[in-house]
Amino acid sequence: MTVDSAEEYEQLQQALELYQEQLLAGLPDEKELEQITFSRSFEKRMKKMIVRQKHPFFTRINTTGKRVACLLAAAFTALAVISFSARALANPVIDFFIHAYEQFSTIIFPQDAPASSAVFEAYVPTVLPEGFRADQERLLENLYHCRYTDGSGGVIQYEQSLYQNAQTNFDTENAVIERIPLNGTTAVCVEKDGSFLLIWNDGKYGYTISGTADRDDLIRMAESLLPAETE
Amino acid sequence: MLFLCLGLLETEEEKTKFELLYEQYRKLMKYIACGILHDEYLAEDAVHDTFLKLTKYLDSIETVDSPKTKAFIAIITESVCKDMYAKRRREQTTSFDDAASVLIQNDLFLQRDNQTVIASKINQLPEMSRYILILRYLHGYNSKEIADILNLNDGLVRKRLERARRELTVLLREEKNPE
Repeated sequence: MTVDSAEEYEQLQQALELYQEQLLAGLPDEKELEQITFSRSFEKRMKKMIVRQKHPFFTRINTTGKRVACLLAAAFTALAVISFSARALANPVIDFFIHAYEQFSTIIFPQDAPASSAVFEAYVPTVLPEGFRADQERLLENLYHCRYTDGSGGVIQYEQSLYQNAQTNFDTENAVIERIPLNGTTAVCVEKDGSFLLIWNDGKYGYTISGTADRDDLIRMAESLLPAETE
Repeated sequence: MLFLCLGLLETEEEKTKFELLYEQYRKLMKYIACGILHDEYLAEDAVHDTFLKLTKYLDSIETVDSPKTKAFIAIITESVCKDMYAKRRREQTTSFDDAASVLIQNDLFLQRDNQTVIASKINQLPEMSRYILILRYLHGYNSKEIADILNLNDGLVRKRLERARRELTVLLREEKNPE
């Protein structure tokens, strides 16, 4: 036998709501709960969880040790690297930083010589995964960002920025990191919890594509970049 | 340095909702946890684990400050605490009904004039069955989700649900057509 008539269903719901009311009546009120306190370590853990909720794929580096390590690595790179071709710069530097920072959460693209005459030209993906449309677009002086959605929770973010001074933070814990050939250079592909992040540069611009779409779809998107149409 | 930070959480509302849930219910959750575990640090661990579990069900929480959400939070907290309690005691079988519940005491059962037979029958069911019924009929979760929320076996949830529904259906029909 099952609760199969609408009337019976409604009666059951009413009875359960009454029970639920009783359950809630047995709970302490706000005044009683005022004396409840938490340890510092708990507050810290929860703060971290809340931050991770806000930025599940990227987390800030929030320990002094990691910051110091990043600064040292940036300084080392600035001293070691004087002049490279764009391609030569991309491959060995990416290899170096991924190896060094797999335990941490940062990929640092070393500071390039300032290109004072660099004019930012936006490149946009011309091939999108099925169902995705541009949702939000921003074009700034040295940055282009576009958010794509498929109307059912799927999100892809694309960002292009001038290569120099680029730094990307992300959570590498339990992530799978691989190097893949992309657009004539080497890209980093990070997979974590079903989401993917592609990072690469072509010597002038740094690019990232991230989202919950299929990995191959994101790669096809990255391969389809063309200059944005000018009006 | 240019700092690129791309969040992949689906909506802005969900980010805020989690924080609001934390601010609204953390003390209640610790109260419940202390009542079962009798250890403040373990209670905090339980609250932390409960929030981890809650991240899976944020979508189903419509309003943060509502009796429905409060009841859901209380149930899920109790379930996590009881699981922790059982692990501490190194028991293999579920001890859902072993650890004393702080959520409702039978002797505090409120007598109401309009209390129906069905409502009193619900109170006689094992605590697990009551929670299963609430999660199924008031919160709309399926048996798999209920099993995850209550740290139970899916088969057990379905069995308990079926048995409780069967008993209550008979009562509903008797109440409707008393002979």
